[in-house]
Amino acid sequence: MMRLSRRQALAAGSTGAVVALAGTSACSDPGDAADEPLDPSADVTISVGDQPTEDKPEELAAFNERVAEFEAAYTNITVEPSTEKWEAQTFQAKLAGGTLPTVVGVSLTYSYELIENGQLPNMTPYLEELGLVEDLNPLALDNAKDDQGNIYTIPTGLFSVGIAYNRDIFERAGLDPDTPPANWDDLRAFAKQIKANVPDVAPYVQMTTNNTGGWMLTTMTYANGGRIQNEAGTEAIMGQETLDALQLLHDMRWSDDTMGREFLYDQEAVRQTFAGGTIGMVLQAPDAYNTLIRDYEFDPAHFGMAALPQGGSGGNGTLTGGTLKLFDAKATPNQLLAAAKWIQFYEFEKYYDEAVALEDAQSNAAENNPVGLPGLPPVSDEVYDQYLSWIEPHINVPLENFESYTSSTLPLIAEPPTATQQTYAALDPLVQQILTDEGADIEQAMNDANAVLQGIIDQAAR
Amino acid sequence: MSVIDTPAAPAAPPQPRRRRRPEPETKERGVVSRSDRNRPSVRIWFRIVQTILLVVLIVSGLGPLLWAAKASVSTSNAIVSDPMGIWFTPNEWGNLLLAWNGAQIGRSLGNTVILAVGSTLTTLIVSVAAAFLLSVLRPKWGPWLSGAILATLFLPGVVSFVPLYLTILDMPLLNISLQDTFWAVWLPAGASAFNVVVLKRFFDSIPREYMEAAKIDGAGPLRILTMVVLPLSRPILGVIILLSVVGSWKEFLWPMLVLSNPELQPVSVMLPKLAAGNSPLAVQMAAVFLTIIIPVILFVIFQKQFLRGVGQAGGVKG
Amino acid sequence: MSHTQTARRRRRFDLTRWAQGGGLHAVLFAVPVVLVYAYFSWGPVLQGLVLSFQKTNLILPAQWVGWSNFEYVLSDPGLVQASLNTAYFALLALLFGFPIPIILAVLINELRRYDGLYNALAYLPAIVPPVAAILLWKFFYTPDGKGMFNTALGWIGLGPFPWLNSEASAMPSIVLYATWAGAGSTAIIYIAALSTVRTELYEAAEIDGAGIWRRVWHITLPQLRNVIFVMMLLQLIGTFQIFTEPFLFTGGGPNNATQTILLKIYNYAFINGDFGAATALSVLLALFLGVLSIVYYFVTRRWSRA
Repeated sequence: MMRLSRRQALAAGSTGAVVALAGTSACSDPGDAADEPLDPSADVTISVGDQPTEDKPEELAAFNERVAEFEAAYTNITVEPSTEKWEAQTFQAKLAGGTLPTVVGVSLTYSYELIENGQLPNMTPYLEELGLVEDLNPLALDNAKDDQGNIYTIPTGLFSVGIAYNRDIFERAGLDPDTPPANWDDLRAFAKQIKANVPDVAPYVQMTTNNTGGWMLTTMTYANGGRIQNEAGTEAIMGQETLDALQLLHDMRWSDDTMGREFLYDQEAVRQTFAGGTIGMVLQAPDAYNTLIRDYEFDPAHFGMAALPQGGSGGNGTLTGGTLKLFDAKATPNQLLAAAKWIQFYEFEKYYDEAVALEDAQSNAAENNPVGLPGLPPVSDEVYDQYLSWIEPHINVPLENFESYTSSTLPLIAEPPTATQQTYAALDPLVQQILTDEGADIEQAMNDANAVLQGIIDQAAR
Repeated sequence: MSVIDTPAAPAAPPQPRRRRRPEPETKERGVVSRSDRNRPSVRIWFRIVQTILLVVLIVSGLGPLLWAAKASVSTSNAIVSDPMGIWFTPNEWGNLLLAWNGAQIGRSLGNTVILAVGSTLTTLIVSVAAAFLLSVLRPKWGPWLSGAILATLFLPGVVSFVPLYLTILDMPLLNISLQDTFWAVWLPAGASAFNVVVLKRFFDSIPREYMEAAKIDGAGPLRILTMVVLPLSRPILGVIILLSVVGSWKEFLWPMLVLSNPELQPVSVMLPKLAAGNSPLAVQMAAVFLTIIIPVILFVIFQKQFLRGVGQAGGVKG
Repeated sequence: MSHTQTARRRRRFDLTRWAQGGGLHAVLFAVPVVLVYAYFSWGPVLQGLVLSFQKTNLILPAQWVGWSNFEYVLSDPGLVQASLNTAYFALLALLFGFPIPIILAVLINELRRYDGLYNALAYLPAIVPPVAAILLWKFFYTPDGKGMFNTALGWIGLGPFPWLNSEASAMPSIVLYATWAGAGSTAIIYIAALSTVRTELYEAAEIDGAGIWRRVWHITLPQLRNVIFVMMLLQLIGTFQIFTEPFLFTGGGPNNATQTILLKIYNYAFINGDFGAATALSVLLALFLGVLSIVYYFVTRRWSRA
């Protein structure tokens, strides 16, 4: 089984813009909502999040155009776009405050927690009405269901973590850009070689803040065959595998000095720096390509993406992640149906309609947005393959630079099930400590972190 | 409400000032006397210290401002690769435009002003009403109210910011949410026990005879307040306004929580989001510069009044 | 005229015309005051007490959970560290942030020309909105050799320093910023206080042959004693509520080295969605700060009477 996780994943398809719908409606009392009969043709207003901000005029224009098309196709639906988007720092406050749009993209990490807490509406009837259920990637859908098989969210952008590297730096260091590191020993050796040959770059960097430190430590633990929590999510079980990952980071930081000087990176900061050409390698999902090329004008030819390096005898696996579309628990049935229609329109139509797929690919290609970025499809493989064959002439992503990633057969492993974001948050300091304190007692630090995690798990289970 | 606000002290009742704050030209002696100043060794040391002080103050006070000005018209790469470069080509004027319009610094600066004005008004209205009630009207139940207000002095706003946030989401009895309205910032700002205490002490010191006289002339409480008490309280009101505006200008945590709609957010909330988002460094720095330059210009214009006010505010706090 | 006399006289006056007179007016004046305080001050405090014994995510009904929020918060090893960090911040702020404004104030107060310029320059950092200043400083603190501060220090052969990127130097770096941001405005307050120092004392001391330093030490500083003490207490109370700086500079890192109590409360509530734990910790902090505030109140009240 696969569960997906974490961080602003951008849609695996062509546009990459994460979209969401949001419904700030006048009437949002759940009691009324339940009583109101579903009427697909009634006038309804929904708000949709993830509208690009005005400092990215082209993306904004493309988004607004889609909204206009949608409103033309469904004349009873009014869409109010909002720039609201998921941020770990304020998400819980906004969720509690009921200020999120009718639908917004959030990290898949939250799925189980929110379903269990009753913070999501049951979307099954609406998705069935639209015939969306059978289209969705069944693996991804597992993340959106409760025990009874009810579906609460729509997973969209899915990916697994790999390693991004700067091919230009590899060449300057005398490394073969087509041979990315396959295991941690390679990674370490490559980093040393980069350090020796390329001045003023950080050969390898690690994300450590805003929960990304825990996220990546989890990824590395998985790559070593370990786990953070047991399968049931009742115990913190970090062990030798995590220790190995921490030891590797410690050695690279303090013995090899191949990790630069900045140890408080989060996702945005690391991508910005990577785009500046001063990072050799960093663990990332392929959606980094969107941000790097589109927002920071990184040279696509310099971007390399490989499968996650593995520990031990290899083949242990990698962490999966993605975005889900979160619907407002307080929205009316008509709003929820309209929001689901929007998602179908914005995210899925292109997979089924060749004309739409082509037009979407063409317009993106014309604006130099990535088309055909590798990733896990939110739809079934057959559908996705067909879609790829349609858009093939417009694919502008240098797929050969993703060769190691796309040919990988690593097992896809779910995130820690209980209090996922808190778990990551609690592991951030552990990673930071290894990178900023040379004398750190790694084993002790990890055992302490295990104890903190256990406390979080117990508190969540009350 | 100011989440990070410190509870502060009741002020000393106003006293006839023993000495007006000396104007520069008639400034009285300090530690160093005129005869000291005539001694060569003192004079030389004075020069040296003065110069060092000036350099330190220019570097620390003006330095960051100038640097931000430079960064705001440079390319992102230039900022990163040569942060201390003195020679640069100001060729990226577009950054400022992008920041003002694209990143909506203009709008969020406007929001900051709206928040500051509204918060200050609420603070003034509520605090003046409370102080007038407790100092002049003195109803029988006054001491109870006074005690309840004083008690909040000892509970810094920060400790209740989580339940306060929940209150904003769902106002008890009213069942409305103030989230994403300016009221969510304006109204809690009114509950400032410190200002009530300061004002009450000031009102207490106003001779009762004035009010009695007005009363005999047939003035009701509202007229007494507006015709007698407020005009006499101008200095203290000025200080409260100043503290409130500056405090509100610096607010970050509270507006970030209650104003999730980007169109309502003040600049202090907008900037970190910009930094965390995908905006290029140069645009971020342009936004920072625009945020800094406006209060600095205002400060330069109203320097004298401002510094005097801050000095008096210190007197209030002490 | 004593207060009781006034009150008595007014009561007789009011009794006749209570309805149009003071009684009704008092109630009208009280309405906005009571409403604002009830909603935004008293209510939240009480609700905080209740919440600290509950588990709630604001969507499902709240459950009573006894002391378990307190147990969870108190058993969190991070709490000790956050408290120590806060104390460490207070200590550093006292060492750097405290004497600098006093020195600045005494020096500026001696100037006979251009003191307005010095004042304005000193106050400039206080004008810069903290969020903007922090973003600037964060960039200045870039830890590699190309960082702004590291470049400048490199000219005199120092560094490069890791600044925010080391457990040892992260907190001092934040204090350095806080000192920069706060020194000017504190100095202005001292300067205002200095203008009330009685100059006769200097003259007397000078006649007695006291040098400049001795005059500063024996006259200026003692005269400022009250203001200094008040500023110190205020600074201490403010320190325990420090949030924006660590939140924006480091997010509490590295390895919790800049984690503060308020940041922990924020994380509990708004990242973990655990409002029970957040309010439990708030209640504990409130008890502590309450004691500090009471000390402060009585000390200053004694002075203002004297």
